[in-house]
Amino acid sequence: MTRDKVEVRDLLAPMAEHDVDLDGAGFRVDRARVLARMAAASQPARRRWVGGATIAMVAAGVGALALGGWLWQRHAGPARPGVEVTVVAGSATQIAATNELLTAADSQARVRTAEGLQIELRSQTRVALGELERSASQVKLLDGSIRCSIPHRAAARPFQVVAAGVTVVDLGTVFTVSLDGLTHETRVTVEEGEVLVQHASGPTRVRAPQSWSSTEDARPAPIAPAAPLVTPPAPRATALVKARPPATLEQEAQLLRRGLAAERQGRSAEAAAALSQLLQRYPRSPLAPDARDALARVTAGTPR
Amino acid sequence: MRASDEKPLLDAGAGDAGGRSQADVLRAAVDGAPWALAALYDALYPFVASALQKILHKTPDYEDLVQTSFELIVRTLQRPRARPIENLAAWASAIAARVALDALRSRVRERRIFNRELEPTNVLELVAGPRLERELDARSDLLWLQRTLADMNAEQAETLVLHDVLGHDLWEVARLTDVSPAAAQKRLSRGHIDLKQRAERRDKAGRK
Repeated sequence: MTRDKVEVRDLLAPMAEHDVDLDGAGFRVDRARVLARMAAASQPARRRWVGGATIAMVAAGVGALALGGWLWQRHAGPARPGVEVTVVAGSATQIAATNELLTAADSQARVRTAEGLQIELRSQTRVALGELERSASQVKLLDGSIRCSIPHRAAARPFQVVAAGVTVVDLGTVFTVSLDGLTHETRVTVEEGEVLVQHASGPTRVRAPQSWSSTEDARPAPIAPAAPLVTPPAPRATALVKARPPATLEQEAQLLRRGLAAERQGRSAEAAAALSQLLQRYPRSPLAPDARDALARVTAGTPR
Repeated sequence: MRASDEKPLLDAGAGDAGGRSQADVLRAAVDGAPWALAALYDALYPFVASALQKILHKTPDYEDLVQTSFELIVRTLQRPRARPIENLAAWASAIAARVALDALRSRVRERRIFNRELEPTNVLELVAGPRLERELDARSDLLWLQRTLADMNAEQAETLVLHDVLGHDLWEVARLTDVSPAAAQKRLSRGHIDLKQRAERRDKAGRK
């Protein structure tokens, strides 16, 4: 072997000679979860571009980057380091010119900041990340649905989501904001903690497990009157919790939590049972979309 | 049907995939059949794990990268191919290697690599070890190599990893990277030169 080859071999030795550990504690893999992701990836790619402006931007080639399910992390220009974007399922598109992130149909992406803030983008969702990168304090939801998990923060400015004239201010919580790009209906569902929803007619506090919608017509009439758990809403806004007895919502949340916890721990049967129970008992629950997503993940997998 | 399609899936032959040809399993996996996805995962995981672990060693996002690799495997299978996959294991390890190299590049871009490596838990592990200095040197060599591969020409880095780290021969590397053997040889040669020049610069700078 020539001296050059020996030198190259030595330089690459830290990798080439590294022993592989298929069963070690640091290399555990949830097989069922990977299989669920593979099943999701095997779905035919269907893209729905959101809004004519986006189509024009993409057509003009202003920096759209198809990612195809690839994990990527970005740090653009003067942005703060530590904003990490992961495509969890399907594909996502970054529009560099507007600093927006879009998920395709049947896709999910996750945004994490160094402070521990986590935002999950559901399918066909579009968000602007500029402010998040500058100060970790705000994300703008332009269409679709995002779930935000916010750690207790010592920052001067609270984290907030802006969506079609509605601002959701985090008060230390886990919550979901959905925006219908066509009707501009904004819906807020709080899983843990509390948020402050600011809209045209003033602020509304929404506590777990309550929901709030900006459009009265978006929800069916209340099944039974219940004591208001939130401050009186604006004329165009509806506190959805009024339509549902709080005890029922708590049970719904418990079932969802139990299902998600079982899924995380790889107990697929238990997860499927809890999630199915939630969907059967409370098909109109505001948590039903989350339960359906989780159930689809669980049932797509084949537990070991 | 081509010859390479008729062979069993890595000779695994286990579970629901038993007796089915590689082509059958891959076709069913593309259609999302759970048994086929499970068979594919079980057959390819050792090769995906090997590529990820050799390049990244222990990493907190290991499971995410395994998921990404397998999503990419399924998605790549969906694309039309000019020729069949001759060596499924090598093909999967090449995909995982790309995922690992991409993760390295992302970390370097974010300047996370190296600054975060000597976290308190790692330092404690090293202090507890009997050969601290050697372990520190080994870690330093790995981090330098990771940073170098992330910084190198992407095609040369991929060729180096496939050939010198994962042990594929030049013909296999050429097939995996979809270039001629001559082009693969050129990339490998240039990759070696670049690697050695960077090592010389490091040594002159006192292995900083």
